[in-house]
Order: sequence, then C-alpha cells, then structure tokens
Amino acid sequence: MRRLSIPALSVLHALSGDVRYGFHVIDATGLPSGTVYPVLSRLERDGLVKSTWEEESDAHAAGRPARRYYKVTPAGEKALREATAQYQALVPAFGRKK
Amino acid sequence: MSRFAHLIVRAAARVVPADVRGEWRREWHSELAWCDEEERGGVEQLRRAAGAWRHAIWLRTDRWRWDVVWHDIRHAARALRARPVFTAVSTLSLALGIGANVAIFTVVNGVLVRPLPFGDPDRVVQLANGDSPATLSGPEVVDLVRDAKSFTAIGAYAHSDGNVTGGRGDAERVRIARVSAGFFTTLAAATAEGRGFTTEEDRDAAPAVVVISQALANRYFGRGGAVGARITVNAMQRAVIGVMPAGFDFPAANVDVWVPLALNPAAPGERRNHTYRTIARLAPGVTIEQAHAEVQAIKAGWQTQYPDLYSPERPLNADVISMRDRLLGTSRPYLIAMFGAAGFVLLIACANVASLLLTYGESRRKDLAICLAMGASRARLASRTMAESVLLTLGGGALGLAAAVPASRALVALAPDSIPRLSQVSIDPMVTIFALGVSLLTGLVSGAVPLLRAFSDADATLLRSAGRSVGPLGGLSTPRLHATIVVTEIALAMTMLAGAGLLTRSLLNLRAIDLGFAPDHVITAKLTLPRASYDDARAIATVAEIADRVRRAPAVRQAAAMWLTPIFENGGMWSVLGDRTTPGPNVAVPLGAPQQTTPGYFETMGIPMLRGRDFTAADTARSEFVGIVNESFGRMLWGNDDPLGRRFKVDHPKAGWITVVGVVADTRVEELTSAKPPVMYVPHSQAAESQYFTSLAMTIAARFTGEVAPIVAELRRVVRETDSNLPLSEVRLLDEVVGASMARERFTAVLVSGFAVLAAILAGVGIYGVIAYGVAQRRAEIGVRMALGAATGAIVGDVLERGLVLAAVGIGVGLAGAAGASRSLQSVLVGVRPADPVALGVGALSLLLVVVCALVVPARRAAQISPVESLRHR
Repeated sequence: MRRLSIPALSVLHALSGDVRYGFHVIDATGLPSGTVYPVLSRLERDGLVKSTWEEESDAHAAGRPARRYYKVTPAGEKALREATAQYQALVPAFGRKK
Repeated sequence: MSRFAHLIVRAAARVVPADVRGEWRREWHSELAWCDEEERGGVEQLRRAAGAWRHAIWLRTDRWRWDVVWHDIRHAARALRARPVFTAVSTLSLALGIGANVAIFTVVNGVLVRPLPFGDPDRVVQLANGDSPATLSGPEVVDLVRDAKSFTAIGAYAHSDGNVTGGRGDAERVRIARVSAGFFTTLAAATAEGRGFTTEEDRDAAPAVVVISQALANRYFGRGGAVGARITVNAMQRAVIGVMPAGFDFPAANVDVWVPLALNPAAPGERRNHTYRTIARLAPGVTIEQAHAEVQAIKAGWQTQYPDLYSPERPLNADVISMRDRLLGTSRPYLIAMFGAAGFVLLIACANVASLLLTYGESRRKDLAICLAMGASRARLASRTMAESVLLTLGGGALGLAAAVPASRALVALAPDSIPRLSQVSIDPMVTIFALGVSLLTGLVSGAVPLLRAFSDADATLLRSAGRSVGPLGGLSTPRLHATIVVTEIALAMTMLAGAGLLTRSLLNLRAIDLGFAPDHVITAKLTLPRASYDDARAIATVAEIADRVRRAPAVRQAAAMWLTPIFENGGMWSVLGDRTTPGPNVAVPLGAPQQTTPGYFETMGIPMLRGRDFTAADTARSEFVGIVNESFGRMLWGNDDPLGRRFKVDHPKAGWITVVGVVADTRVEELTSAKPPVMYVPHSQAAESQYFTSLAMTIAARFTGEVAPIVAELRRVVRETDSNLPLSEVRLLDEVVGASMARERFTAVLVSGFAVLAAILAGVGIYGVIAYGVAQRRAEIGVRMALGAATGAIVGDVLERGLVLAAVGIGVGLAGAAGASRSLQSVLVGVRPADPVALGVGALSLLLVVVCALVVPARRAAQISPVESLRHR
C-alpha cells in the first residue's frame, strides 16, 4: 500500500465521519476542488473508498440531481488508522521543536 | 455565472477518458447544482468548477501506462534510425532554429529579464532637465535633495576613466564613477564588504575614501582584506571603505571605483553647467507622475529665483523617467528585433520538419486508417506518432542548447558595450527551461500537422486504398497542405529579408552621415597626466611637446592634442555669454560644447577652417584669450554677423573673455544621429582661464600616410621619452572610434541579416522538398506525357512554374507582412522608410534566386524521367 499524503488523509478522515460527497469534502477539509477530486479518484482506484450513486427517486424527491456518495472501505479504515498513527508519532517531534 | 461554470466542466470533459466520462460529467454537474442549491454560486462556484480541469487531467494521466509510453519512445527511436537522412536534416534544421532562439534568449534574459542589480528597481527614476544630454547641475541636485518630498533618496553621478595603483596589483586604467552620498542609498545597493559614503565624506575637505568593485578588490587584495587598505586613484591616496558585490555595474559596465562627488552648491556659475546624471528613489505611495509634478514645480521656482540664469521664455522641463526604461529602453527594440528574427527562423525550421513529417506520414496514412478502423484510440495513435516528432525536436533542442553556449558567448563578445548588463548573460535555469519548452512546443506543433491530416480523412484513405486508386491527383489536400507550408516559410523568410535589408540600409546611411571631420588615417591615443606630478604649466608644455614631436615623425602629416574625442567623449553643454547679449529669438539659454586643443587640431581632424586662423604656439596663458567657434556657435550668439573679432565667455566667475580668431565648419559631437551642436574651441594653453580648468586627460591625434604600426610605435616612443611613467591608453584609429559608436546598429544588422540568410536557405530547403516530392508523386504522369511527345522544356517549365507560383505567393504575403512588421523597426531606422522599395526589392530578388536554385534539382530530375521506366513502374 502506498503511503497516504496529507490531503488524502484529510479526505479519508472527512469521509470516515458524516461527510459523503465531493463538495461536502471540500467544505470539511478546506482543500480546493482540484485537489479533492483527484484524491477521491485515487482513493477509489486503490480500494480505500467506494462510491455509489444516490437513488434517482430520492434525488428527484429532493428536487436536485443524484449525488455520488463516497464511503470508506474496511481497507480504507485500516489505512486511515495506520496513517493517523504514523503522523501522530511525528507530533511530539514538532512539539519539541517549538 | 452558473452557466459559465457548467461550460468549464463541459470543456474539461473532453480530456476525461471516454469510459468514465459519463459518470464524471454527471458527478460534476450534480456538485455544481449543489452550489446553486446552497446559494454559493458566483466566484466560488467558478473556482470549484476550475478544479474539474485538474481532475480531468489526473484521470487522463492516470491511464497512461508508462511502459507503453516507453515502448512508443523506443519505437520512434528505431523509426528515426531507419531514416538517417530525414533524421539528420530535421534535427539539424531544428537545432539551428532552437539554437538561434536559445542564444538570443540568453542575451535577452541577461539584459532585459534578470532583475536590475539594485533593490526594488521599479522605484528608481532618473531626474533630468528635458534637454539633451539628460543631466542636472550640482546646485540643482542640491536643491532637489533639500526640497523634493517625492523621493526618499537622490544621488548624482558622473563617470570617467582614471589611473589606479595599490595593493599587490599593477597600476591600471579603470572606469571611475564619481557619486554623491545618496547614490548607494537611492539604488538600495548593499556593499559586499564595508559600507557606502556618508554625507560627511561627500564634501570637498573630507578624508579621501573610495568604494571599489569585487573584481578590483580580488586583483589588489585577494579575498577579504580590502576594507581599510589604501589605493591611489588619479594620484590621490584613498582609504577603501567598501566593496561592491560582483555584478554591480552601475553607472557603467566594468566600473571598478566609486569616489565621492563632493558637489559644491556655493559656486554660482555651476548652476547651469549640466554635467551630472541624477537618480532618485520614489517615496512609498508616490507615482512617477506625482514626482514629475513636484519636480516641475521646483524647477518653476528656480526660474523665479534665478531669472538671469533660466530664461522665462524657455520653461524648464522636468524629466522623471523609470530607471529601467532609461537603462534598457534603448536596447530593447534592438533585442526584440533579434529575438523576432530568431523566432522566425524557428518557425521556418518547424514548418520544414512538419513538411518532412507530412511527406513521411503519407506512407503511413493507410496504417493509421486501418488501426483506427480496428478500434485503436486516437490518443494511443497520437502518442505513438507524436513520440517521433517530440524525440526529433528534443534531439534538435539538445543540440541547439549545446550550440547556444558558444553562440551566446560569441554574441556577448561581438555585442557593443552600449548594450547594458552583458556581464549578466549566461545559460541559467530560465534559459534551460526556455530551451526545453521551445523544443517540446516545436515537437508538438510540427507533429500535430501531419497527425491531424492523417486523422482527418482516414476513412477516405481506406476507401481509396481499397480501390487502389491513389493516383497523382488522388490526395489533393496533401499537396495543398505542403503548398501552404511552403508559402508560409517563404513569407516568413521574405519578412526577415525585408527587415535585414532595412537595417542594412539604415547602417549604410549611418556610415554615410557627414561627421564634419575626416576620421580616416587618424590615430588617437589617450594620455592622462597625474595631478600629483603635473601642474597646469607642466601639463601644457608636456602635451605640446608630445604633439610637436609626433608631428615631426615621418609619415605624420599633422598632429595635435584634444581634450574630448568627438563621438566618443562628451563634455556636456556649457552656458556661455556673448558680447552682444541679445541672442536670436529661438536661443533663450546659449549653450555650447567645450573643447580644448593644441595647434594643428583642425587640420589633423580634417575640419575645414572657414575664416580666420588656427591656434599657434604664440597663444599662451599670458597672451590674449582666443577661441575658435563653429558656424552654429557663431549663429547662436551673433546671428548672421561675422563672429571674427567678437568676444564670448563661459558662464563661470573664473572664466575670462575670449576673442574669436577663427570659424570652422560644424561637426558631430555626441551621437551620429544627433544634430551638430554649437562648439567653442580654446587653446589648451589658455584653458585654465578661458574654460576655467586645464584638462590633464588629453588625446593625441595624428593624421598619417601609409602603415599605422610605425606611427603607433613612434607615438609610444615619444611618450616614453617624455615621461616613462605616463600611461598611453585607448590607442586606436579614429575610424574605429566612429565605427564603435554604430556598433549596436551594426551588430543588429549583421545578426538579423545572418538569420535572414538562414531563413532563406531553410525556406529553399522547404520548397525543394515539396517540389521534389511532387515530382516523385507525378513520375507516372510525367512519363505518360513524355511518351506522348511532350518536350523536356515543357516538363521543366511545368515544375519551375509550380515552384515559382508558390514563391510568388509567399513573397507577396511576406511583403505585406514586412510592411507591418518593419514598422516596429521604425525607431531604430536612420534615413530609411519601413516601406523602402530598394530594401524590399533586393530582399524579394534574393529570395527568388534561392528558390530558383532550389528548383533546379527537381526540374532536372523531372526532365530525366524515362517514359518506359516510369510506365513499367506504374
């Protein structure tokens, strides 16, 4: 498994909460759309997230086009845990520097 | 706005791989709809939509299989190796075009693009009076420093050459800048070691200090150790207080020494002696226009305060211009002309390669069409085809970059000193990026033409090949494309030849300018007498003795000494007073260029003496002060009256009245293209009084016959025998001095002409390729015609006609383009209109000649086609 970049980690982290679709991820992470979408595509390609389309009837009832929802896969959850642990291990080092 | 965001996404969708495009489009439109729903349209929606491009490109590149790309590259390399002639011609063609561009870009980058060697250079301006030369007087500078609020610092400077000794280095002649205390502050130029001058050090009686260049510090003291040491500058001991970093070459190239200027505002006669260039740093928030208005107001105050010095009839025009424009402005049009010419060469090289690839692509069109019919993606086929052209151009680019290293060095060596910052010219990352960018772009452009051509009628190609009906007229659009390329090449070459013709004509005009003196067969050499060992009397006697002894040398017809070498040196314009204080109505402030000479000057220089006499040995410091004026000077002070016997003086309290004893013809003094100004000549022996100082830096000039070498040897011997410590420098022919003043024009004309010849040759190669290809394609048709009894002459005429028609169209388009493009050269042309018929005509005829030469080979080949063989081949 390739190492997760910080933007990828942010996106994965956002999706592990109640965030579910692209522009929502942008709001949650503060990353630009040109970063979030390629990250989503890469995470899906690597099997860390899975996307599904909203039912047309639900979307129609809400009066908008159907959305593409992303969900973290078990592999994604494992990768998120490992990457978070790795980055957390770095925090004391930054703390000492300060 | 929302509509625009959807348009952005729709455009980006074309980049997304086809199998995911539908989902991709659906997702992005859904997200944009969310923006509308959340009422977050406008700029935010546009910003989010812009991300669609990055997403689309990521999806596209993610699909690239690098092993396939590598395979394409290897395939392309093999294909190129299999066609060595095509590869060599294309690569060399591209190397020439890319190399020329990179070499010129290296110079443009060093001179125009790299930042100036001072802090925040856009805030630095030059202050001057609106007159030429753009200088201010000492008291004016002091007034501006005191009164102007638009500037945080103001610095004045002048520069000249002088003698320096010290440290462990030999005595040498260097360029010296005299600068005021505000000079370094204005430029925000930090010293590498030590410091700049303080206001206290910039005074007459202050301790003698000096700032030196890193180069001089290294020569005299090695690394470090310069600050605190002492050097002798023009016979005066000075303490080194600072070292400027390498690359700081202001106010002149290769300046080595900066000494305080010590302006003396008290001397009233100084006010109108405009000798100092002045720079200033704009205060925060102040614009050039605001500064200009303030300086104008201050100058208006001077006119009220000194009505006898500044005539109210002639308002003082303030001149506040950006330093960047002042430094680089005059070089910019020349460099842009060269860059444009190099760009044209690249375009022609590019067109040639496109044409060659097109010819080669013809043989592969069927393969491509079959691949497409079998379902191969266009992107895949494009990658494979483009790999070849990109590989070719990268090869050409690498060769071009390698060639650009010596070429840019040669350019710098050949370039005139008047182009500033040449020392900054070198191949840097910017140049390498430029070379890589140009190569890739060239590869994409020259590869795209044949590729688009192949894709555009792939179906027709298949149908034609199925019916085996690909005949000579079967693929009309390829010859048409070839023809378009050739016409473009010829048009570009024509435009360049026209530009080269105009610049050459302009240079010839410059050479033919009447100087007012005869520079041929005159040798000049600079003599600088150190003040420490020469007082005025000794200096006058020594200069006169040297001039006399040189005059007596064999093969010397006449010799004299002068203070300022015309065209090369300029003493500014001095205000003068005539004995009749009512100068002509258009002359509010009489200004004259000064000159100090010894007897025999006018004959030496070939300046016609119109009336009166030359100076003689009898004109001494104790005799009546005499002067010789030129016609313009006489007209300025005395209208149509005869100046002989009239009196004038330099407007300075120390200067005495001078009686005019001779009138000479007008001469050029500063630039070749500027008007002949009023000039006042005084004997060197009387200059201490009549021009209030005796010049200790004099140039010996000798008019000679025969070879120059013995004269130079004699000159050196005479100077050595007179005083073995006197350095003799700048020994050169007056012709060379004049020639150097048009070095920039000559450099541009030679370079653009060189590029134009290159362009014409490349265009010749282009038309040769197309016509030869046409002959090969029409082999069968020509064979049939010959079998039916067509005369060889008719066949040759047919081939020539086709080529000449293309050439005529190209030349016509080129002439129209030249009419527009040459207008941009207008500012650098002398005595020639942009639509000069001679320049355009000669260019057109030369190009026609190249085309005819290029057509001879295919025409001969057509004439030699054997009907039997070609029919059998068919």
